[in-house]
Amino acid sequence: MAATRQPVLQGTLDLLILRTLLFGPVHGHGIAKHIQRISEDVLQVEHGSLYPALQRLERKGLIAAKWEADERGRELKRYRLTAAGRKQLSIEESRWASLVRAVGRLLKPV
Amino acid sequence: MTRRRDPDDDLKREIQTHLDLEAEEQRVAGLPARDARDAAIRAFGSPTRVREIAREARRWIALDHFVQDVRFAIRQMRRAPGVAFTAILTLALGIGANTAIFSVISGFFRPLPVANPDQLVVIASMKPDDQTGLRYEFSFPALQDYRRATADVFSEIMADGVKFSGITIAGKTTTFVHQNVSANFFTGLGLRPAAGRLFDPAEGERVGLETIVVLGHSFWLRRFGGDPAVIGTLVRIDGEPARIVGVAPEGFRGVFEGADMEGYVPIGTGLGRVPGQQYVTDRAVRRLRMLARLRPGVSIATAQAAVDVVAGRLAAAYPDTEGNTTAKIFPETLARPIPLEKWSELVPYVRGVLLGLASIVLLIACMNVANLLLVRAMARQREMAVRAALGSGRRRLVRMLLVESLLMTTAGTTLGLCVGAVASALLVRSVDIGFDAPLHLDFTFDWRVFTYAAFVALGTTLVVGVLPARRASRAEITDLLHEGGRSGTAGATRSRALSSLVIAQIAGCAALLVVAGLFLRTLQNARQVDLGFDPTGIVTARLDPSNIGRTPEQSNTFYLELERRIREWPGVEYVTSAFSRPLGLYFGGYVVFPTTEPIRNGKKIWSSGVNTVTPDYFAALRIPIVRGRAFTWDDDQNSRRVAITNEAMAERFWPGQDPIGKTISIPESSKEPLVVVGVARDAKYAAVFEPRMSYCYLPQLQDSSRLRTVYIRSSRSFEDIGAAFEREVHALEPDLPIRDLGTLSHLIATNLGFVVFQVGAIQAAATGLLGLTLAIIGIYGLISYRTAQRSREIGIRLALGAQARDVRTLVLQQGGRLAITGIAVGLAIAIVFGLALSRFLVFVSTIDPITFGAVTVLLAAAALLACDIPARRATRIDPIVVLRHE
Repeated sequence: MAATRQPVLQGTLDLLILRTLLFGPVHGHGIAKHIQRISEDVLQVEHGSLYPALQRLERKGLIAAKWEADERGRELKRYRLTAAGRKQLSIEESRWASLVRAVGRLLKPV
Repeated sequence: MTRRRDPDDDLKREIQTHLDLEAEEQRVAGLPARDARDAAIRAFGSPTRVREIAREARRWIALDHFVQDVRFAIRQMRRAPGVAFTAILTLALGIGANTAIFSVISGFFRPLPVANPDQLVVIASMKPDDQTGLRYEFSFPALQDYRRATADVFSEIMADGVKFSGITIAGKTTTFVHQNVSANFFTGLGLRPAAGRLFDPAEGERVGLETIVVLGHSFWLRRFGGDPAVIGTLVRIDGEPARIVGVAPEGFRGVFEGADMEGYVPIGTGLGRVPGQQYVTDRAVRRLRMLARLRPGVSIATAQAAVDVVAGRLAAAYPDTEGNTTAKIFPETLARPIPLEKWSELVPYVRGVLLGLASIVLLIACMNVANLLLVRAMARQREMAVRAALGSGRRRLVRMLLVESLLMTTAGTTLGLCVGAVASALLVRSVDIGFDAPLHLDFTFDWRVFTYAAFVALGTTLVVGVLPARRASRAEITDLLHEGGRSGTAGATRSRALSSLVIAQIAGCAALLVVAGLFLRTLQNARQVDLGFDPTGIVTARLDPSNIGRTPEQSNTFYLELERRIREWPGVEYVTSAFSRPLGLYFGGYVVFPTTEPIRNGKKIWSSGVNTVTPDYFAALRIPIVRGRAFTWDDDQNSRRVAITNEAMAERFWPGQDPIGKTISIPESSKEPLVVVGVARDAKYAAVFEPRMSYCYLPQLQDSSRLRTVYIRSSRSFEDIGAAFEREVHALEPDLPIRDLGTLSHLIATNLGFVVFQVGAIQAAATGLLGLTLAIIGIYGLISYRTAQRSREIGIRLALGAQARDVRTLVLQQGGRLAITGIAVGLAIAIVFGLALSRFLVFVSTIDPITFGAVTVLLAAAALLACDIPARRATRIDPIVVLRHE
């Protein structure tokens, strides 16, 4: 499993997805584009690896999915955060923040 | 989730839309259509690989969840070991009872261990006026006729007849129960020998050849230690030399269910008193059961039509012997051990009722466990609500609970199979048919039983687990969390589920107890039935001097001498001998008709029970002669043939006339007519529940049999008489086997008719008691739970001045309502069961007031008792403690 070989990335990817969904339901392609755009193309997400992550999050009950027609009548599967997902997001965020702080202090000791 | 579909398809579709969107974006950015598509795929990576990863993850997670659930379930069970233990034990008892009964039924209807057993059918001869129900056999010439005329529907017609003989090996004679079989018997069944050879279709139906014998496998092991060197050995069967040519395969025990045949002899050697030559030519000698193999694809209906044609032709051609005779085809499994029209039709029915009873027990057990889990599920509702709030899917919660009940039922089933194996072993040991014969009842557990148990376990899991799981998972999250975990008003609907479970339990239990009661009453009443003779004080035994090769003349001399000697013993009132024993396993039947009404085409053939007896028979068995006289020692070969009829026969043949001096014809026994010299009172002959039956007696001195039962009426004990009898017989014939030595009362009590009731009563009583115990536990559990729930209310009532008595009444009323509803429903179910069983419950009304009354009282008392404990506990509630606790 690709995901298990890169555990750090997995956790990060989950966090990025959850964060993307914080502002409302988005489909898979949209999530990929959003991550790329916001990170100013620094984070290159291989689009394919997004989907196993989405499924994993869905199974954990952190996100929920629904097939919906867009304004052009195209059927798209949109994901949204669940209550549990929201909670998980805040946990992940603070964990990430503390990790960043710790690593930052290591790299730039005052 | 609005729609559920294959997750893989879903993903495929999702990836497709992703690629479409990406390609579109690239196109908008200026790439040509083809390049846009490639760029989209490049950005995505391999779609197949992605789908594979997803699939693998799904599988892994499912397994992971299952392992988690099992671990969790084990933890839960450890936390409440009492609950788990009770549940598993309850299920074990229910499943044990169920599998035991299934194993008995399955054992009795197991297909024969032969090639394509489902093709086998039994062709039974049927006479509309055959009161014995036993004239299903055909003559050898008829067998040939059927073989010739039905070759297009049957590939083989085999024939067999059971024979009780003696076998003399190295100077010692023992009984030898074997089947006389047609030459194609083994080839038709598709069997191979365990040693030596089996019969060849070219031999064995001709008369005058050397007698050959194939040994039964277990007899071979028992008598010869499985030594293959016995092939070719000369032994004696009924005194005649016979050569052992082979051994039947292991597991094959003949085609007479319940018996383990000791050997097989070709039919050409004759049967009983009838010499071989007459046996194969005389149409009046009907001793063969026909077993046929249907050609592939031929239905029973087609075969029946073919057989009807032959029967009609034979009836027209041979009115004296075949007139008014039809033939009926039964699937082999329904004609066990012999084809009886009524019984064979009843078989599927009986099977259903027995399994139905067992299933009620299991259902009661399931309800108890469901109850237990439900109560616990309620206690865990808060936990469930929290889990649901934390994002556990409802499906996951339900699955968690189902895994828990699956674990319990698996444990319960394993234990239940052990219980069942023990129970069916006990049942086999308890079967005593009062007949010395190589019985074989194989109720061991085979794959059928295990498959059945697996299905039962699965069903049990669903029944036990689904209800609590659904209830628990439907927990209203906000309600529960707000309520602070105290069960208040929401309890009403939940208790309703519990109440209906308990009502169903009481109902099932009531139905079981009523059926048990009806069986017991039948047994009780059957024992009080007027048998028409007095079995007390009589010791009997079965002898057959033909076993050691004695001629009829030698045999007659032997019996005369034996009876003369016994008559001189002190304390002996009467001694007599007769062909058969009333309510024994075999009895004689002849075609009997009044001489004034000779049978011709279209006229009826009367087939009646017949016994040949010595003069003291009527006095010894205390059967009153109501008209005329009993036989005397002067009714012998030198005087004219005489007969004594029973009242039923006299009324049937000569209604309103004096039967004394009239004559009857019995072609199978006598060429000249027989003069009726007396009328004996009606009695029971074959079964306690038989209808009134025509029957007649012939003197042994005029129609003698070598196979006889000797009756000794005396004031001495059985041990005394039995030992003296053995000494006396062996003084005259040192090597003559003695069989069925016992008191007549005991032998009758083990008669098959009684055995059916006994087994029925034992089974119904055992299941009934089990059901009762479980139901009491159920009521007790529910009322305790409810009372605990209401302790606050009760506390307030007490604080407001309610008396202990009022509180007790309150609780008892609650239980009483449940009990009354349950009993009412149960009695209604019992009426249905009673109707289904009415063919067996001959001496009791299916709505026997005593049974119904007793069950009602018993259950009501049990229910009250079960409620009384929690009721008393309720009166001891201390209002201050309860209210402080808030």
